[in-house]
Amino acid sequence: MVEKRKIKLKVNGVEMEGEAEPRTLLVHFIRDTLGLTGTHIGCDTGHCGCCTIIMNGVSVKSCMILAYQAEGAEILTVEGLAKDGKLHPIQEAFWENHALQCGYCTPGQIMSTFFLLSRNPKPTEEEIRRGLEGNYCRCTGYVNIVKAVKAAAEKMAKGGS
Amino acid sequence: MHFEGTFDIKAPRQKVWEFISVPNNVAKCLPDLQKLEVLAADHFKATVKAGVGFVKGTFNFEFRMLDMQPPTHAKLSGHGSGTGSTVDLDTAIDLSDLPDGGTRMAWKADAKVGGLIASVGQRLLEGAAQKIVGNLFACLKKQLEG
Amino acid sequence: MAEAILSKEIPVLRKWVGTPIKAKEALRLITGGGRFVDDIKIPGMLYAALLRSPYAHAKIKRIDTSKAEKLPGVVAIVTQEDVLKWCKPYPQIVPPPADKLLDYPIAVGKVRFAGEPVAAVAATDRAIAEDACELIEVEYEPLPPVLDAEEALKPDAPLVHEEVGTNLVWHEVFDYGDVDKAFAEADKVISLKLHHHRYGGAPTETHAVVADYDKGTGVLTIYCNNQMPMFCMALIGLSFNFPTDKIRIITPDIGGGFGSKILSYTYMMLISILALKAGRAVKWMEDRREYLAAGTHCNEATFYVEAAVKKDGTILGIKARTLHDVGAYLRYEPVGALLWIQVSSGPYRFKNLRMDVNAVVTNKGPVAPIRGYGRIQHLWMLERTVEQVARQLGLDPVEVKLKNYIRPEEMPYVTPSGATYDSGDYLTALKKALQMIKYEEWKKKQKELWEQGRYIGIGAALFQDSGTNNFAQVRLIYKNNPFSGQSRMAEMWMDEFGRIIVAVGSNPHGQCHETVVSQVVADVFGVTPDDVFVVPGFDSWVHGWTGHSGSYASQFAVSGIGAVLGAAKRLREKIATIAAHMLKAKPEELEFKDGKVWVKGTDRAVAFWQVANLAYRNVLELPEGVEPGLRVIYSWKAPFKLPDLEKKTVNATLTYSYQAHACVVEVDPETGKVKILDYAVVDDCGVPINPAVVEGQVHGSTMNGIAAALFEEYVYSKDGQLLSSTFMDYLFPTTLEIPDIKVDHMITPSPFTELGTKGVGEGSLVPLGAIAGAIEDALSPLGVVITDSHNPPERIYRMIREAQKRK
Repeated sequence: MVEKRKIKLKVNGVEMEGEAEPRTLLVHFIRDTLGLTGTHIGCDTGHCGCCTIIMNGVSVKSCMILAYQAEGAEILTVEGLAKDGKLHPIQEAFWENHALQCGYCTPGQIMSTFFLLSRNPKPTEEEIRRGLEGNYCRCTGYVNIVKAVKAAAEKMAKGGS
Repeated sequence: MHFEGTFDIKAPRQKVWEFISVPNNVAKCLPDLQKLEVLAADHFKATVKAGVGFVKGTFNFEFRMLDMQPPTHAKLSGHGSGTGSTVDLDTAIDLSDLPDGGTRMAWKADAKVGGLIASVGQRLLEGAAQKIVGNLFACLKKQLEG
Repeated sequence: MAEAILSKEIPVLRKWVGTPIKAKEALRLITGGGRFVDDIKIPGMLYAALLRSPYAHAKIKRIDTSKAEKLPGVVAIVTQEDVLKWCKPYPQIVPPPADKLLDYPIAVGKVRFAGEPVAAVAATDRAIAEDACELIEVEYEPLPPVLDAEEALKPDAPLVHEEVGTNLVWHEVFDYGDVDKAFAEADKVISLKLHHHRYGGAPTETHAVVADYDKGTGVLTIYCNNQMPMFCMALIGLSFNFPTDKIRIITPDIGGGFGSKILSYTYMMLISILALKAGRAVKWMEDRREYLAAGTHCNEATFYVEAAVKKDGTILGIKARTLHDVGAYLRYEPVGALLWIQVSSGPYRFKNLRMDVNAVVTNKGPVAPIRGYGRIQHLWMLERTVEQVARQLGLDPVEVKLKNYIRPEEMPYVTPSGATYDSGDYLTALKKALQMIKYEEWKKKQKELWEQGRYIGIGAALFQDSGTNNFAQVRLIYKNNPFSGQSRMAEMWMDEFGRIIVAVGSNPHGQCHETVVSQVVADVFGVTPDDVFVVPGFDSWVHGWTGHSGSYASQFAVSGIGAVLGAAKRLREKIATIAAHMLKAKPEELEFKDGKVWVKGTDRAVAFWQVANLAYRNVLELPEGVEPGLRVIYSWKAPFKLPDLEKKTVNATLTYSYQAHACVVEVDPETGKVKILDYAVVDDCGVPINPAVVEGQVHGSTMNGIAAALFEEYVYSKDGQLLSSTFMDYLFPTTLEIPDIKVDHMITPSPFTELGTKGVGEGSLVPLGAIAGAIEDALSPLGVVITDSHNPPERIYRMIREAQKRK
């Protein structure tokens, strides 16, 4: 029988715990054990970015991290962005600029945007494209995503979060 | 993939022949041998660890010695699978005498790889296969020369 | 801009149709509240993994699952034995002998492509299921694979399907007009060999199935992300030995489809068989490697084209022999080899066309209706041909295209194949796109740039997106195929509190159906889109459907909306009848506004809930002859006809959106790399219901086309191993590869649809034409001719070197 260990971590501000095997990927732990299914899986080689979350303040592809590595970490997923029913400016900007169609890559795009803007609040278009290079989208052709990130930056400069 | 080569062994042909016709001797030269099961003088199973780049795993092989023409010619054919991949290997060995009493071994190997390693590892495959095959024959030479 | 045609039958307010409101479904998707198949959990559910063939072609001698069965956590394993108990082979739509082709949800007796499923394991978690797959021993006898359509037609070629006796599974010749006369009268005949490569849909969500069999009721519920599961029921019902009345199909949110999520009926059945054997629900999510190998590719086609032309560039006629490499199984084929009939002459007005079409099986992944199915290959071929006609005659490709385009006043235009183009102004669209990239300025600078050693080129192409298809076209494959027309069903009801609910019967995956349906219905009832609730997803026990229902073939704005409009009018009529009775007025005197029904020009009105009260609770107060309730179903049928089997003509599609693309590229002669300097699109999809949704799809299909032209290709080794098996090698473009795309719009409404809408979802991947033309233009001083649809740096580099050697 494979060894299972309990991991404790903070997810979206809430202390959570669950069991995992040494080989369990963080994305599976988040989705299947913690039940937060907003983070998605789109490939098996760490390319598509659908699994992007924020771990200890930095964007990571949760399919490239083992659950055990998240012991004691602070994690932010897409479910943790809206507060008291109010959307985060990034979520608003994506909605207003039609920056999603099927929505499968969207949580990853939003989390990467969150990280980009936390480091660079006024990115140029080039910087936006570089910042989101690790997030694939098949529906939008990226045009409206870039627009949304620009709009989100403006909203946040005016006094979002 | 096709590989071939020749090398000279400082040992007489009969000794070389007797050596390579024993499955145990050949098996010792397989990469990272985990387990060996000799079923007959010309038939054995071997479990090896091999891989290409970051795709490494355990392979279960079954080898047969065929077309034995002592002390000149032999064929070793094997099929292995593991790590979502398959390997089909056909090798031929030809021995000839050298004027100094040694033996010239001319070998050919044809390998067909399928599955995970063939698709994901394909860029590294030829190099890795060449290395494995080369090491196998170098090891045989070393064992024979003592 | 042409005036939109208003529906004459019912005074639609047009307050919401045509406005770019925010997508309703986006709210749950931006907050992580989307519900995709892999998010579904059923108590006791098991997880499946599939063992797939490592060989492109081999006999299956023996499968031994005994070691795998002993692994703790493994509950059930399915191999060909189980499948043969549960399944008959899938029906095929080709005439004999290929109708004997054997096709099952799993490999039976033989594996025919690398990646074909050979066994399925259900275990308590996915990792254990994969470990179990490693323990399954399969003894194969490798066979030589055939990996090229022309090789497959040679007499000594290995047979992919021995039961058929040949690899040529369909052959038909279509002869329109007088091709021989056209060639006799030509000033010049241009010949080309062209190759359209294999690429795929590659949505970010792969295929997924959850099969749940309830022993008590005997109902099998299949959760899946298939784009048209009710169409697939034809195949499931005819092959699965399970009562169809007890199959319930549910599609929740779907993460993109692009045509590849049409053939997953094989997985729907395989996972169901596994669930039936395990006695528990089973979930399977395909991984990306599986998807790239087996999740379906687009038609690969080779064309031998000849064009008969006058020296002024007028095209008299075209002949083409085409070889479609459809992979190891037919599945939906040879429809992909036939669909060029929807756009037989492309945007051009030549009347003489001969198509000698061949569909060939090979030991490669099966093909599916990937975005632009069958039309892209043909339109790309035509565009390449027309550009070479221009170059070989020493004329400007743009001028030759404009000269040969169908004129807007000739619309509706009946093409050689009998398909009728509804409306469109191709000349204006192309000219507009060229203006957007400053064509004249670039042309002036081009010679100077070449002299500086900079290879900059301009390309422009116009492809049509034929939408709302007539299934009768498959009778041109085999006259006995019992399919025809196009239809959709929608159900609509008002609840007793006056709320409007719609169940549409589509399987959207990014097309924002909840939003556009709300807009249309809001206009019929004089409410806002937020007052209309569209039931999310699809459930075959809740949503009305016909055998054509689904989300495919660029048509929701016509067929789905046609059904919605029909249902809305029926419901509105019933409400008006009851309201007229309550207001003691005539139905014609009423208007719907602000959630109430008013007598026009007065302040007398009844609220919806008051009408609903009579219908649901207070039925003795209903007018004579009116049944209780406010629930209607409407089935829409397209005005199609059956084909003329002798002439081989058919009105194959109802509407024709189109896009004109223009681009400027720079080719680096040292590396062969192509940089896009400017990219513009003019899109015309008739009347757009939601311009933001349309524009999003134009961006997406443009990206798809750029990806196919420069980055994405499925490459096989000479042993039939798929080398582009992960995103390391299958180059899905990122934000850095796709430039900013400028879009402008035109509206030429369709005379054939109620609101003047045309379907627009596929978009036809016009970059395949525009970029090929631009590269050829950039390298024209070297005389390079582009004959492949895919031009990565290596290919361009080689062409440049060869051209330089020739000089």
